[in-house]
Amino acid sequence: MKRSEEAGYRDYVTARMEVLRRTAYLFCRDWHLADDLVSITIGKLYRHWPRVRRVAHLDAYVRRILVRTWLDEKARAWRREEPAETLPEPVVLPTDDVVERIGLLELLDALPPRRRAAVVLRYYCDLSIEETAEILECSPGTVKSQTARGLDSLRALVAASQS
Amino acid sequence: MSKDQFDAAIGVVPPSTVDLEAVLERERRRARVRRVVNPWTAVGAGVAAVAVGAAVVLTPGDPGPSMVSPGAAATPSAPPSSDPCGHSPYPPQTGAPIPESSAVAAGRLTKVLTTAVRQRVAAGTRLSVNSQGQYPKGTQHGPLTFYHVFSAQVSHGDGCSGGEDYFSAAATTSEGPRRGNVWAVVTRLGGNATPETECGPSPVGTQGSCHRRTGPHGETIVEQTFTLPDGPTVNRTNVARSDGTGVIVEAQNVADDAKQGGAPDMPSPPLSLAQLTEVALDPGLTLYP
Repeated sequence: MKRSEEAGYRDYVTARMEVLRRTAYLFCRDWHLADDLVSITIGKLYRHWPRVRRVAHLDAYVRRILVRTWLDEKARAWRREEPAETLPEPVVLPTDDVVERIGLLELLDALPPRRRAAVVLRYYCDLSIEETAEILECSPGTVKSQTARGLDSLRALVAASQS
Repeated sequence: MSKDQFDAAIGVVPPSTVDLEAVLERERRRARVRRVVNPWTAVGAGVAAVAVGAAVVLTPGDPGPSMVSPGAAATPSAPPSSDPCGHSPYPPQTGAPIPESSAVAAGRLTKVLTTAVRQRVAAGTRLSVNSQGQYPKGTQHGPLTFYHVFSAQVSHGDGCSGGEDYFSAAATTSEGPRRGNVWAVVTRLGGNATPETECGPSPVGTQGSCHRRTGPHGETIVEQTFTLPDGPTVNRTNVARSDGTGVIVEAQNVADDAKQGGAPDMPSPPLSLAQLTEVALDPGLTLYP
């Protein structure tokens, strides 16, 4: 890669680093793993940078790499979560803000990986159903059902926390 | 549900542990090895350096062997594996483990390469460190000083990274104001640093030629030269020895790396193709002395 291209890559990655880390954290809820996911993602981006740096939807391209990296990571045997019949108990919640914050993260944590990715892409990255479907390589209808179930889970969680 | 709610839920973001410089260094190294293995697909963007390469299987007692993945160590007749790294585009390494520790082999190869290059460059040429001689990040090796590149193979779903196992060395050459570079790698044949054994189509946007022949002791020799769009010229010789050692030696007429772009720093590379071939055929440049 030429120096000029690498400078562009460096600028892009530096500018997007924060939002990539936050998005990765919403996927995995572990800052160490989130940083690993981002490192892998920007490494993959580097390999294709001369070709993709001028594409119209570069952010979407990078999000796609990040999501695929996360889903691949979840597919590894040693990363698989143990299935649980009930949601984990919430931690001690000193304030309403923290209740809301923990509740949202607990919700995400309780969702299956692809559903979690759908919710994050739709409501955090503010992507359309079609854009989310493209990244997740599924149909728009699947995205609708995944996010609807995610929202249902959130409502259930909110109801449980208020009772 | 909104982005603000998510940001609030995330709370205070801890300091990043993402090391962009380390990522850049790893990917540069990966790209360099990749274009050595398949230069014609990568040269369109440009390449620079003299490379002598050979991937090496470590001897007992070295720290790395247990880390080599099954995919990398498999024999050609190994059955298909569900391991995505088992479908590597590179052929598996073959041959016996090298008889020396990596440190001893690196030291011996350094003496052989340095002597061979010094005997052939123009009188008064100085050898100095080259950025491609930095491994791992922050550790700069001396001119034409071999170091052992090794990393475990890791699957990322749509591909694999790591799996490096070879010796490499590099130097910048200075002859007055004229500057060039030389780069080299050594592995058992196979793996991601194995030398070319056939000529391929010329890279897009370059002018060059490729010639394949058999050496005096049955070596397969592939000599390549090409000129990049910005003007730098790359000479490269690939040698596959019958003892299982692969050697790649490359010379460029730019001080650092032709792939970084820019104009040549001297009219032609510090070593001609014929000289590179002589270096690569040096009997001492083997993993099985």
